[in-house]
Amino acid sequence: MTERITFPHSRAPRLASGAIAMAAVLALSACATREPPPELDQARTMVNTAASNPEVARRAPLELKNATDALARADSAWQKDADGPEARHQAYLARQSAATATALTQARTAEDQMKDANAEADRLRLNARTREAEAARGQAAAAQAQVGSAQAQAAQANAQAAQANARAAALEARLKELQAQQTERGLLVTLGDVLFEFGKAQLLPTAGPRLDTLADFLKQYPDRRLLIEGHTDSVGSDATNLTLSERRAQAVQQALTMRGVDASRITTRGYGKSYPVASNATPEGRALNRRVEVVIADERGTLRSR
Amino acid sequence: MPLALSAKRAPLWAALAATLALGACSSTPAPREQMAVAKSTVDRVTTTPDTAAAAPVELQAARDKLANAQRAMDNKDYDEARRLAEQAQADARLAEAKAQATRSERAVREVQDSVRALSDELQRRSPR
Repeated sequence: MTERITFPHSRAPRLASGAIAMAAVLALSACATREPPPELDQARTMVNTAASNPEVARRAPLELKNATDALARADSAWQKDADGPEARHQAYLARQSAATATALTQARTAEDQMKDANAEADRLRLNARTREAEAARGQAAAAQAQVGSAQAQAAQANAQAAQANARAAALEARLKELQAQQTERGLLVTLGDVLFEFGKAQLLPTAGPRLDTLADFLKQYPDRRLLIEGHTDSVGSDATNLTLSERRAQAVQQALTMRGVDASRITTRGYGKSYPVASNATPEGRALNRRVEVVIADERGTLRSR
Repeated sequence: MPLALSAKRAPLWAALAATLALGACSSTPAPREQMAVAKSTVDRVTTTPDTAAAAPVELQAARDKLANAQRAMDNKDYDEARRLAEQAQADARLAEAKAQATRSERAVREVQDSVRALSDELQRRSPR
């Protein structure tokens, strides 16, 4: 609104300008002497404290600007009207806004920390799950290893059983080699004359394999007792034949003992020419009569001597 | 603007000034916007849980000032109404911010506690 008022030339303007100058001096002196209200100082302190905190400037810029704007309004209101309520009002707004900015900064700082803590919690939980999975895998592997070892044991047992069966089968086969005969006195194995030195009790090395086989078999059945009987043909004196038959039986006992058969299981006898198995009239018959018979008890322990 | 006072026309000048002053006084508009903003803020903050516990003084001040602002409005004391409305708004905002800070700080403490517990648990489970 523009206003132009013109006055006729007179002394009045000079008087008026003098009055204005005086008023200005009065106003200035009022300004210089009047202290601002304590509310304004307090507000300034609070706003400055908040503004000097870079966190507040960063996290609550709008509230901080509200505070500084209100403080500026408070200053200018005080300049205009030192006693009026507006300066104190704006100072109050500045103070509350500064406090709000500070509280919002606290809240937003905590929210950021919350994000960090949540991330850390997620990391730890993932860690825990990974470890559990690893442990589970480890347990599974251990269980599998146990199954594997059980299977291995079973396989070993099977193998042992098979081996035992095989050995039993082999023994059966060897007994057949020995031409063992099942008789009413027990299992009878005959060691022929060819296994001894002529006319002596000395076993020939060729007897070794048969004796080994026999010893193996006897060791397989440690409960079975056995009877070793020596026999001769009818050539020569009775005394000589008896002695020879006894000594041949003892030689076989010794050979079996040396191969690990318990001596207490063995009984030896010499029968001389008393029990021929063939006719002494022919050389073939006499050869068959010169022999050592090993009688092995059956499962029931039956063992009968002559 | 060249302006000078005339002693002869002083009554006229005084009348003009009085008219202007009166006009200024009666032309202070009703602070409807400030009232509306203050009311919605105070309502919002009042219904937010925890605010009464976190900032009881500020919340009560905001409510009282809003009520007083309404009374000033009824009395057509619009300057006072505006100031009270603005203060109610500022108090309510402060109460809201304080409640938010309390909530956030409590929440972060809880999460940090659970992180510690989880960390301890992990430590115990694997002493390697």
